[in-house]
Amino acid sequence: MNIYRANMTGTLVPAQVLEELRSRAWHEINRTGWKDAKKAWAALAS
Amino acid sequence: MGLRDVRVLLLYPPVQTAPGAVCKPNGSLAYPNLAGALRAHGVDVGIFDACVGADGDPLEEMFAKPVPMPNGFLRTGVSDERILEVVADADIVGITSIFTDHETMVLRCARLIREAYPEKILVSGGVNARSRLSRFVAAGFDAVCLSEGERTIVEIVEAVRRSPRPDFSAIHGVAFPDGDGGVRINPTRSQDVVWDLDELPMPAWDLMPNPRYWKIARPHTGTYEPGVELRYAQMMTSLGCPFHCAYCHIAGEQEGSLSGPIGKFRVKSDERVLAELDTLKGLGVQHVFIEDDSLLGQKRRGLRLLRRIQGAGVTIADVNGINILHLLKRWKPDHEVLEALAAAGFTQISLPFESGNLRILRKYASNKLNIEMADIKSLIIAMKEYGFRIYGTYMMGYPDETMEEIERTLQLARDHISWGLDAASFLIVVPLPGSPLYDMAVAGATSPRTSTRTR
Repeated sequence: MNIYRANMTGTLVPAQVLEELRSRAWHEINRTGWKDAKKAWAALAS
Repeated sequence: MGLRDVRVLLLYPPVQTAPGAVCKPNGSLAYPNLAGALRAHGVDVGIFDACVGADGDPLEEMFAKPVPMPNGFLRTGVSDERILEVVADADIVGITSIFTDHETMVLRCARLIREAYPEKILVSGGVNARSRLSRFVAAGFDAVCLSEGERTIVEIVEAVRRSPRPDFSAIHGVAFPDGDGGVRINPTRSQDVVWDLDELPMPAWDLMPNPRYWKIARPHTGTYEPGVELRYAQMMTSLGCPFHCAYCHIAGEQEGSLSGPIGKFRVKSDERVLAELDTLKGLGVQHVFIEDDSLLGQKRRGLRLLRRIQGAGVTIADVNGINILHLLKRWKPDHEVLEALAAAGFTQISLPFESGNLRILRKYASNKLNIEMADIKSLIIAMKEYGFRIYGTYMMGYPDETMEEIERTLQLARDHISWGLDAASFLIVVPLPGSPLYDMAVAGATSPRTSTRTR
């Protein structure tokens, strides 16, 4: 189970910054084909 | 006094998923293992996964149209009415709670069933449940197994056979309401732990909704083409782990803990593993996901096992990651291991890098890899030459981790991708219940209490 959200307080790098870093890193570092495969599986409300 | 016939239903709740995230059925090994133990004891047992349903439930529609929930998440699975219909003829309903992010739906199902059927016995278990006992008892659970449950569930069934209002006070490794608003805990003793894993009954994979899992084709890890049937199952050849990382529940599973020392590394015999593979193949399984926390925890045994399963006729992926240290020899790729993995049928392997900082790895990750000594570039290149699809996992947000350290980890991931790694997963460090990090967080310390002493 992937953890996307930060939930500790008092970390040296604040939670919101961590979440932005995580999201940005995933998009920046991974290849397009991998990202497209993941997006194809994403749950979206219809 | 005669004993009652007792029927057990093991229920995976519907799954809630954040919009945009991938919904995967739980399908953990807890139920094949428990159902195998119950069946070996002559108990009538069934498994229902409310995320994928059973015959007559609209599988594709459930996944195509998850239902928005008041909390903003999306629910995938059958309706509450269908769950109540399925559990109607069970005397005992078990709901596993291994994964913390499934807790909301576990507790919701418990309350639903408790309200509709006050007489049914509700049982839970798993690291999350035993770490959150008061919540689980408040939701209506009659008992929570505190350790590996194959023996405990049989004892619970025996207690229910004796009485519809069972007395669990003589069972070790279980917690239950004390009748006075609190929770009584019967700790797990060392002798309650199964040390010889070959003694465990064969898992009852045949009771799982395999065709529905195969059709939806969303195993715990790896990438597979949507819409293409994937005939997969999961198995474990060992339990426990030789490493004790602060963010992992295994570090808390030691002598004197609620669970007893189940974190200790234990292995199945080669023959037992081969028998399990045969059982899976007999069910039509073609892809096996090894869920071991440290497949090569005993490297010689691991190598021998890999050679024994060559020609098993299935492809294999490692879900939880092979400790990178075990893929190296004197910090260089260990080609003996890589060759054995390839010959055994491994196609996808996760590499848990965790951090690009030696300080972090030493402090939080059992010092399990010297990232500065290890020749990771050669390892990645070698693994690609053997044909593996490889994924790296990286964690950020350790309590006292600096921005510079996080940037170092991200640069490491960039390097790994440039050397051939197929994909990188970035996880934020979360203090999951049952882990030492959770205890620190609950105690109000955002960094380990030892930090000031070691500086």
